[in-house]
Amino acid sequence: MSDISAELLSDLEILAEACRGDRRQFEVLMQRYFHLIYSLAYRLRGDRQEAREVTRETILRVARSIRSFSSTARFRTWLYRLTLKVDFDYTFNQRRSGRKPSARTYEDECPLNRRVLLALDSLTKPERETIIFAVYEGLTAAQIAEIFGCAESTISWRMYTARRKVSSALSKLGAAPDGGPR
Amino acid sequence: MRWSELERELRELQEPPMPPQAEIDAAISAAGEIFQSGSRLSEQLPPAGWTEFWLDLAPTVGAALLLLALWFGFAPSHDGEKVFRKGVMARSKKLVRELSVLFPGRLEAVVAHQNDFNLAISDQAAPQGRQPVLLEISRRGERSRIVTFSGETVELPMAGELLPLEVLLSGTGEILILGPDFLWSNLTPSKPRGFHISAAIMEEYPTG
Repeated sequence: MSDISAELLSDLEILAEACRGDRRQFEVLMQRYFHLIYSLAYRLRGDRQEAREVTRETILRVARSIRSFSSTARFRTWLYRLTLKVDFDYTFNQRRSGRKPSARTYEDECPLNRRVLLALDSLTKPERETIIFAVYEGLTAAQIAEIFGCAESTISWRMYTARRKVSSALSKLGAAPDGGPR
Repeated sequence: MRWSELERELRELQEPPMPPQAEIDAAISAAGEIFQSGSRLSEQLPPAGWTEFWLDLAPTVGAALLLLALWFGFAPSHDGEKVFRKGVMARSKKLVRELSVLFPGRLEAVVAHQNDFNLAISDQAAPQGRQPVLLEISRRGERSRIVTFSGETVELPMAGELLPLEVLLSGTGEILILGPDFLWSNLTPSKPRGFHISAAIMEEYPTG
C-alpha cells in the first residue's frame, strides 16, 4: 500500500490492518498517535526525558498487545489506559530503585509551565490524572470514568477536590508571569 | 477561582517540543520490529498435533540422524550463522541494534515466548563491549527466542514453570547455558530435560 493511500485511511481502517499483522499500518498508526502519547506522558510526569521514556515503553507495549485490542473498546481509551499503566510502572520502578526525585523545581521550564506544573504537583496521582484528562484531553466525567473503570461520581468528586487544590496552589504561587492569564 | 478561569490558567501549560523525528522513527521502528516478530514467531510454531506426531517419531529420527552424522564425520557447527536461519539472525541483529539505540547499554534481554514479548531493561548502563547471544529453546510445542548478553540470567516461562537460565560466554567462543539442574554447551549440544537448545554469538553486532 502506498504512503498516499495510507494517509487517506481512517484510524479504524489502519487499526484493523494493524490488528491483522500489517507492520506498515502499525507504524502509520503509531506515527499518528505518538504526539497524543507523548503529551499525555509529559503532563503526567512533568519531565521531558521521563515523558520520552514512558512514550517509548508505551509504544513497545502497544506493539506487544495490539492484537488483543478489542474493537468494542475505543482505541484512544485503550491507549490512554496503557499510557497510565506505563506511567504507574515507571513511578513504581523509580521508587523501588530509590531514583524517585524529591520535590521538583522545574528550573528548566519557562515560568508559565513551571507555575502550572508546581500547581499540578499539589494533587494526588488520581486527581492529577483526572484533571489532565478533563482539561487537556477535553474528556467528560463519563469518558474519564470509562478510562479508569470507576463510577462517574468518583470522577466528579476527584474533579471537585482537584480544582480546590489547584486553585489554592496557583493562588499561593502568585500571579501568572507576563503573558499569562490574569 | 471560577472553573473556566482555572481551566484557562492550566491550559497555559505549553507542550514540550516533540523529540527529533529520527528518535520518533527509531522508537516506532523498534516497536514495529517487535510487532512483526510476534506474528512471525506464531507463524513458525508448528500446530500442536504435528508437534506430538514429531515427538513420537523423535527417537527414531534422532537415531537415524546420529548414524548419518557419524557416517559422514559430521561435527556440530560452531558457526553462529549456520545454527539459525540467516533471516532469524539478521532480524535479531536489527532488533537489538534498534533497541540499543533506545536504551543504550541498558538492554539485558529480549525474550519472545509464543506470542508474548518481553524486554529486560536495567536501570544503569552496562560496560561497553558485551557480546550478544541468540538462543532458541523449545520443548513440546513451546518455543522461546532470546537475545541476551553473557552473564545475564533470563527467566523463561516454559511448561508451566519459570526456568532461570544463565548465559555465559567463554573466551574461546563457547556458549554455556546454566539451568537449574543442567549445563548446556554449544560444543557438546545435548537435550537437557527435553529442551532443544540452539545458541549462537551475534558476532557482527557492534556490541551493546
